[in-house]
Amino acid sequence: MRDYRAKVQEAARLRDGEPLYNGSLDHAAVLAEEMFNNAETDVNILSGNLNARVYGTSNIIEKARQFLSDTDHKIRIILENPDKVDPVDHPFIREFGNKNDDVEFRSLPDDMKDEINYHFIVMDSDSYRFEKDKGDPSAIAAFGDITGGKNLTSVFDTLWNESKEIDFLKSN
Amino acid sequence: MIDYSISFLPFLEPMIGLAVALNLAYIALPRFRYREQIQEHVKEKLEEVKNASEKLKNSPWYKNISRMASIKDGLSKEDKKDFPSGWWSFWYVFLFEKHVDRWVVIIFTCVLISLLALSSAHSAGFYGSILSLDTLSVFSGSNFHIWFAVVIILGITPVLAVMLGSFAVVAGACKYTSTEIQKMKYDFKDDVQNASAPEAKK
Repeated sequence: MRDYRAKVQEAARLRDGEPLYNGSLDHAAVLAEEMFNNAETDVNILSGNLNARVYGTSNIIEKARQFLSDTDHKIRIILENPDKVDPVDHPFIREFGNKNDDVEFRSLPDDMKDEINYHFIVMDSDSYRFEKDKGDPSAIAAFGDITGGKNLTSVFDTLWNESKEIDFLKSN
Repeated sequence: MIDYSISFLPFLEPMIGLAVALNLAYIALPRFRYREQIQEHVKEKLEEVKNASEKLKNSPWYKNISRMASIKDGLSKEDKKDFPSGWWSFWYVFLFEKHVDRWVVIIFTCVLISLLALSSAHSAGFYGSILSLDTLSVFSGSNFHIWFAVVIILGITPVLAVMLGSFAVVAGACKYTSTEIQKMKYDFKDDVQNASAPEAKK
């Protein structure tokens, strides 16, 4: 895992678009951490229920907190299944769910869920981790791939505009 | 000047000795074992796709590469199934997988050692027959050029096998593996570029 983290950090430093394979949830957590660590403006996440093994670790919460310490930085998250997320138990939601203006959550409309087979996280429109099949943790990641990053940001913006805001205080 | 009326074999002794040394080195030294070099490179490359999903593990390219990672230095019982095609793999399967290279070199070494033994006998003035073959007539007269060429061929065979193994087969296999893994990653990247949002249903 240490080797993988070193590879991801090197890719994030170079930001040359070189693809990285990602085969497990642990890899996904490392990538997400490095995304928060290296993002310069925004991080956008399309996820099922924000898997706590990836987004609930103390490391990622710390990195996200550091990222949000700059008031220009934003995190937008679209959830497919917000009803499956327990806002009290989920460390990330507990931390950022309702008290941070720079973190927004939305819920994907039901009619769109079935038509989307992928999940992704994209930062700064040029770096991403993309799961082609949302039922399978294997994914590809790249730092500095402008073409892929822009496309995913555009997909995310479209989905964001169709999605509804989630108020975790109400749902709690 | 060589007196061609008697045996010229003792004059070839230094060359035969060198050829024996090269052949023995090829048989004995582990650095000439190409399978391990291929195996190490492939294993290192497969680390890049560690924890690959079952779907990926069932893909032809993954099977091909895994087949290469499992090749052993001992006699392989694998068939050609799941082995990639290409000029380097032809040489691998034809020459190295079943250790044809080593058997050829072992036979050549036996021939060369027999020539050395015969040369010692001729140096001592013994020109007897072996299995009704008059060794003096075989190694005298105008046959010098033929035997000179034979010893050169037997001597350079292990050198050629090293070149073929190292520069063609190992380099080919390593390049194949790296290219396949890179291609797989770029296929995934294409998926990123082709991802699209569904139409919203009003």
